[in-house]
Amino acid sequence: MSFRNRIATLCAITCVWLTSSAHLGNTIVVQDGNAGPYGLRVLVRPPPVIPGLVDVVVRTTTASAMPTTVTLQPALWRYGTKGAPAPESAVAVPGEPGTFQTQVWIMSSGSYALHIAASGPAGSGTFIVPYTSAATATLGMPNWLGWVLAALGAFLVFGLASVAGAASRESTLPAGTVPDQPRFRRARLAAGFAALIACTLVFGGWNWWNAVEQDYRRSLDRPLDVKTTVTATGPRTLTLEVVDSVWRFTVPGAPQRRGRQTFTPLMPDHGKLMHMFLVQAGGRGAVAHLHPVRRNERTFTTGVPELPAGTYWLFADVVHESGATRTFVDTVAVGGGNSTPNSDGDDAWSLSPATVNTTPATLTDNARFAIAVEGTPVAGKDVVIHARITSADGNPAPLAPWLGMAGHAMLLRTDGAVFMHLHPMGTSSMAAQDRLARREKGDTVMHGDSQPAVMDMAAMPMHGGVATIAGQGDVRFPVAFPSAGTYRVLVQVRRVGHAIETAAIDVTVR
Amino acid sequence: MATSILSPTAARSEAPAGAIPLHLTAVIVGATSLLIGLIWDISWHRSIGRDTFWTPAHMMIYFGGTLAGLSCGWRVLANSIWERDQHRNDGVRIWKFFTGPIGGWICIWGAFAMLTSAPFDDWWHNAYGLDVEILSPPHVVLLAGLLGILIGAQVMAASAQNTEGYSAARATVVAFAGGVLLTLAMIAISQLTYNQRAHSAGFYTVTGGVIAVCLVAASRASKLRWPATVTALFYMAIMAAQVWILPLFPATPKLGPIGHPLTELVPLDFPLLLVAPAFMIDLVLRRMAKRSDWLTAIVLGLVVVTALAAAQWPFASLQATEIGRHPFFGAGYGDYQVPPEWLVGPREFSNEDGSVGATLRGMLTVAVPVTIITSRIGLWWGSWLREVKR
Repeated sequence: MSFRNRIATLCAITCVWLTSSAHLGNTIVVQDGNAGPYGLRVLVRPPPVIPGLVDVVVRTTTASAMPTTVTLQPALWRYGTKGAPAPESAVAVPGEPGTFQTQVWIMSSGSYALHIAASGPAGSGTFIVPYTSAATATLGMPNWLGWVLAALGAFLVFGLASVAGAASRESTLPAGTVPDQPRFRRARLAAGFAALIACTLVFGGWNWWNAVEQDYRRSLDRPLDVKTTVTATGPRTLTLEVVDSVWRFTVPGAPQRRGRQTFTPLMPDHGKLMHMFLVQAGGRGAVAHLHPVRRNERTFTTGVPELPAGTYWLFADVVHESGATRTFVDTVAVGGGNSTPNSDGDDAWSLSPATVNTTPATLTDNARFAIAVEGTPVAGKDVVIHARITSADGNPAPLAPWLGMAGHAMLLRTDGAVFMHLHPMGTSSMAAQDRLARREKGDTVMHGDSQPAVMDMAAMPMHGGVATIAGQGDVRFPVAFPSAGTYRVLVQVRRVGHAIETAAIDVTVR
Repeated sequence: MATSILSPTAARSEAPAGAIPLHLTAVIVGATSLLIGLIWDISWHRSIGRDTFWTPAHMMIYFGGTLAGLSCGWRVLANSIWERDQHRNDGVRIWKFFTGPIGGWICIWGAFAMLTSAPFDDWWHNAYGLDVEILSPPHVVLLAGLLGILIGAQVMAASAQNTEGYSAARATVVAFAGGVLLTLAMIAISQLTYNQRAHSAGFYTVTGGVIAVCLVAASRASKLRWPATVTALFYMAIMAAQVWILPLFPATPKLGPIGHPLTELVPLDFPLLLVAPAFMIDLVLRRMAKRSDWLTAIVLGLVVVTALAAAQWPFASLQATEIGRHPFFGAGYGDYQVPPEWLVGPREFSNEDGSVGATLRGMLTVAVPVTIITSRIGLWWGSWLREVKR
């Protein structure tokens, strides 16, 4: 491990994690895809600071076809691969056939397409992993380093004063001449003056450093400020308003104003502009997966289904046309008014999701719903959440497509500080993957309000070719837990001919 | 009143008359290595972007710092311990025990500052990301270290020049050390002195202020006939050489986004025409040798800014045309991030003053007073360099 990596590891211990834009509290991307004949699982571990090195692990999931070389090329959405450095070869991990690892530099915050290319005896192919980069943490300085730097700094100030004093005392005397008393006095003055100058410079440098730190903190990614209300009387309607002053959109074709941050317009993901999750505080009660409608640039509304009154954690995912993803976060009090029929046929909720830690849940017609974690849940490592739904006869139950997928999952740390919305192909947005692929082919159009409200999922090209529209009993969600702690994973599926059903397991991550 | 207890010749026996002492040679080589490494490193960041601890440019910087620091450290230890009797009273003494040449002490301080900047810079990159600017707090510590070594080299060269009879070689080494120092100073301010600013008062304030210290001091310190002119020529030769040499080496960007395709190392800018103000500085110092330093500084402030503007203003106009984009002048090179449209067509000057009249007013009311003050500092520094003997 290099000195730099050791410092990074040490500093990571003292990191204050703030937020990530892609998902709350978790910037790690896990994505499955097919690069030609090779099934690959890509694990992207971002650095806390930008520019920084992103750690990428590529694992082959097809035992029958193993690539011999894997390359990575990170391309910023605006530039594509034309503006990207040459692809980097990943190094085969010894003792793990089919696994490759490398680090690539990410220089800007924003939406990136990681172009993964694999080749080998079976042929070659590529696929895109969307990744939203953002500075997420501020780094504390380890005590020992602080003391070392302070000691070296003090030594430099003292040394400068000594050198100035000595120079003033005897540097202009011919060799062999002993300085007289006035020269000693002058030397003391010179040393004092040099020390004063040096201390002033150190003070100025300290202020400069503080200014850099403040600027950096301002640039850290954070959930935008939102105001959420639920009507207290009549049918309960939830309104989410983005009140943050930075919530401004790029106007297609208009010149960018220097220093003014704008976002590209939103686009639907799985056919919806926003996926909103309401989880009863603590994570063990009612849960709802809703799809609010946009009323104007800042406001989204949805009816509240028959959830019990109480305090709810709110997480709302949106995707920008750049491919960048964002989660709005809030806590909202839901009163005891009338429930409203869900505004959207794809809304789903559960008053008390069955916990299936040890035994499967029994569904309405004696079908079974089990969830297990494949692999040891360790922070930063990829595992698979495996949901298995069987009919009463024990055979895998046929699953109907819901929002274009065989299932959806939510990963929640029980303190509410981590939340992710998962799909069978991974943790990144399919809409982002699609848009980044289209931009690579030359599509630069930003649709904004002219985009369709609902996407035709069947017509949507699935890059990597793993988007299972429907399934047969088994649904797998690749994911990496960001940190140690207690998590709750909720899985939602729709059996053919049934309503959407939810089950959950508790996972302790080391 | 100082008292002589040893004859100077007894204490200065390590080099024959007129020759360059070995430790001065080592320090000058180290300083040159530092400067070349720094230029190469900046070019590397502009062209390739991604680097490691072990790039050749970094190696030259480490080598330069180590050579200068260790050779001076060795000199101090030798003078203080095993050659103590011989050198007891020919160096400057620090903390009562250690004695060595004053230039050596400044070099050692510079080497320590460079050493301090390493863990600081490493932490800085981990805390705030890979920096894309020349000026950051840890880089300023590094710059202070580089300045320490280069100033130490200049002082050591001046001391060697002053303790013997006139030697053209030793006087030229003083000018060369001054030229290396001037080059570092010009690189340090290069983010403020690029060609598109050369028709603004701010450009002449920063440039005039910095070159007055370096060139006025060089003019007074070296015993050459045209010391500031030779010093400026050293600067121009170094900077012009890098414009012509660096693009001979292939390079491709390893970081993105890449604005335009790049196939060779991108050099730093063509040197400013400092030979013009330098020549005028030499002339003024000759003509005003018997005048007070303050009066001389006032004249220098006016003359430096005028000569600099007379030379650089039209030259900047030339560089903004297609002629400037010729590889000889090197204005056609751009960092890998810049979009291709920046590399074609005429360039416009930043109109930060609003009008030519405002620029002239700015020069008179800001650039000239600043340059008067820095000229006075240069005179003080040069006088000391002319007197330093240890």
